[in-house]
Amino acid sequence: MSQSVTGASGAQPRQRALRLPVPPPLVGFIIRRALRGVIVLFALSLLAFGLVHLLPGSPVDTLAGPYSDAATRARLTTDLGLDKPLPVQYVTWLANTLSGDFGTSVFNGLPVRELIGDRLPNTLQLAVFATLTSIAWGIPAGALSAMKRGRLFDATARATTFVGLAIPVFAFGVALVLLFSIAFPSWPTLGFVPFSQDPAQNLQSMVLPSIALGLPLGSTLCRFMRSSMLEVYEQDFIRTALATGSTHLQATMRHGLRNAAAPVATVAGLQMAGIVGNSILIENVFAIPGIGQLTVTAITQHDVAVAQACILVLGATYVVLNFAVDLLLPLIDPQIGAK
Amino acid sequence: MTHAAPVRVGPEAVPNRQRHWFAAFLRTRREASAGILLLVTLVVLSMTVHLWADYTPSEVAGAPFSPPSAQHLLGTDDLGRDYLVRLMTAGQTSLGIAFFAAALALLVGSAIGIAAGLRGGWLDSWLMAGIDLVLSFPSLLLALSAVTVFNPTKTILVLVLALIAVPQFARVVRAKCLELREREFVLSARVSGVPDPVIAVKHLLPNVLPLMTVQFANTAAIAILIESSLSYLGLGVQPPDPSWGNMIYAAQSYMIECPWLPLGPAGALLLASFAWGLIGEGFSGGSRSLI
Repeated sequence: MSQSVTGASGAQPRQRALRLPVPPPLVGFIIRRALRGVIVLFALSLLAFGLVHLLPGSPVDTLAGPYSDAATRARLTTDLGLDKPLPVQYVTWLANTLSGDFGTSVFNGLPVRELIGDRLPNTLQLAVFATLTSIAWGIPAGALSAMKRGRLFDATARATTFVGLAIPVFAFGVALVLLFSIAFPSWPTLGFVPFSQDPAQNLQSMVLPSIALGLPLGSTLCRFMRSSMLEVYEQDFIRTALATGSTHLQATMRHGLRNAAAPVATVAGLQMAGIVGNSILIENVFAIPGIGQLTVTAITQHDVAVAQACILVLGATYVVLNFAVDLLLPLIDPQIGAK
Repeated sequence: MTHAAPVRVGPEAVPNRQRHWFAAFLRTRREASAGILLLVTLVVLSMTVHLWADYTPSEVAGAPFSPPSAQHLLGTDDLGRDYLVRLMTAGQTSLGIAFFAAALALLVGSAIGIAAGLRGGWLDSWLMAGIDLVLSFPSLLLALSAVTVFNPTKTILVLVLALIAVPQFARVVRAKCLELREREFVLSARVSGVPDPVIAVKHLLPNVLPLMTVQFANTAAIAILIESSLSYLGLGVQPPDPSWGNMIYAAQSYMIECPWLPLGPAGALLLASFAWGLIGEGFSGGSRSLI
C-alpha cells in the first residue's frame, strides 16, 4: 500500500508542480474505509462498556451479595475502580480489553478470554463451511436459472430462494433436524464433536448446520447471479458470440460467467458478514458450543463480563470482515476504487 | 416513474379506471394481491380467535400430545392445550409486534430521511453518519445488546425492532428526496417562498409514498423474523405469552414424536413473512403507478 502512495506522488509533481501530492483514488478509498472501521470499533467499545453501566444494579451488588456490610462494598468499589470518573474507567477497561484481559465470568469464575478462545474455532468452522455451502449451490443455481429462464428449473430455483429468504434460519434448522431424524434415524442430527477429538464425526455433525446457514445466504447469491447473468445476456458481446457461431453454452461459459460474477462477488462478500448474526441462531439449534451460544447463555444468566466480551468479539469480527470485503472489492471490480 | 407516464385524456379513460380500480389492482399487482389476501387471512384468524375457538389459549383442552384430529385441528401441546388456538393467539403477538415496529420505523425513518434529503448540508451529513454507524452493526447483535439491559417486554421489542429498521428506512427515503429536490416542482415551490415543512408534506411526501409502502412491507417481514429469532433464543416474548418463536423452542424437545409441534409455528412464520415479502415485491416491481 505504501509503495503505491510513493509511486503516485513521485509521478505527479512532474505534471502538476505546484500542487501537493494527491494520493490515487484507491488509496483514498482504503483510508476512508479504514477510518470508518476505526470509528465503528470505537462506537462498539462504547456500547459494550455502556452495557454494564446501563444495567440495573452495580457489579458490586452481584459480587458482594445481599448480606454484605458497607466496608466490604466500599473495598470492592475501590478494587473494581468504580469510584473513579467514567472516562477513566473506560480507558482502564479498554486497555485491559486490548491486552486480552476480558475479566472473569461471574457465573463460573473462569477467565472470559478462555471461554471465548475455546469457542471461537467452532464458530469460525461453521462460518467457513456455511459460506462454502452457499457459494456451492447459489452461484451455479443462479447461472443455470438464467440459462433456463422461464423453464421448470428456473421456477424451482426461484421458489426455493423465495422460501430461503422468507423462513427464519432457526426454523429451517429445526425442520432439517426433523427431516433427517425421520428419514435417516442413524444420522447424528444434534450434538457437536470437536475436530480435534474425531475429525470424521466432526465433519458429519457440521453438515446440517452448514446447510441450514448456507440456504438463506445462497438464496441471495442465487437471485443476484440470475439477474446479473440476464443482464450480461443483453450485452453486445454475447450477441456477437452467438452470431459468429458459438452455441448458447459456449457463449455462457466463455463470456457470460466471468462478466456476471463480478457484481455477485460484491454481494457474496457482504453476505459473509451476515453470517455473524445468523450463526448465533444456528449454534443454538444444533447445540454447537460457539460464540453465539455463549452470548445467549451469558445474557440469560446476566453474566455481564461474558456478554460484553461476546458482543465485542462478534461486532469486531463483523467490522473486520466488512473491511476485508472493502479491500477485496477494487480487485474484483476496478470501477469501485476509482469512484 | 412519474415523469414518463403519458397523460390519458380519452373520454372513456377516467370513468373506466374509476369503476374497475379494484379489478385493475388485482390484475396488475397479482403478487401484492396474493400477499394482502394471505396477510389479511392470518390477521383476521388470529384477531378473532376468541370468537370462533372452542377453547382459550391456556385451557387444558384434551390429552397432552394428541395428534391433529377433527376436534383439535393442529393437535395439542405438552400440556394438552389446543395448538391451533395457541398458534393464532401467538399470531396476535408476532404480527402485532412486527406491524407496530414497522409503523414506528416508518414514522421516524421517513421523518429523518425527508429532513436530511430536503435540507442537505450539515444536517444531512450528521444524520447519515449516525445512520451509517447503526448500519455497521449486525442487527441481531444490536437487539441482543438491548435485551441485555432491558427486560424484553412487548413494548421494548417494538422499540428495538424499530430502532434496527429506522436506518434503512431513512436511507431509502433520503435518496429519493435528494432526487426530488432537484425537480422543477420542488424548485418552484422553494423559489416562491413555501416553507420547508409545507414542501415536505405537500410535495415530497406524496412522491415518496409508494417507496414507503414497499419499505414498510419489507421491514415488517424482517421484523417478524428477528422477533421470532429473539423469542426462540428465550430473549424475546417471554413464555407464558405464546409467540411463534418461543413455541418452536418449546416444541424442539418433543419434535421427533410430535412433528406438528414445531411445524405449526414454523409454517405460520413462513406464511407471514412470505405474505409481507409478496406485498413488498408486488409494489416494487414494474414502473406502473399505483391503481
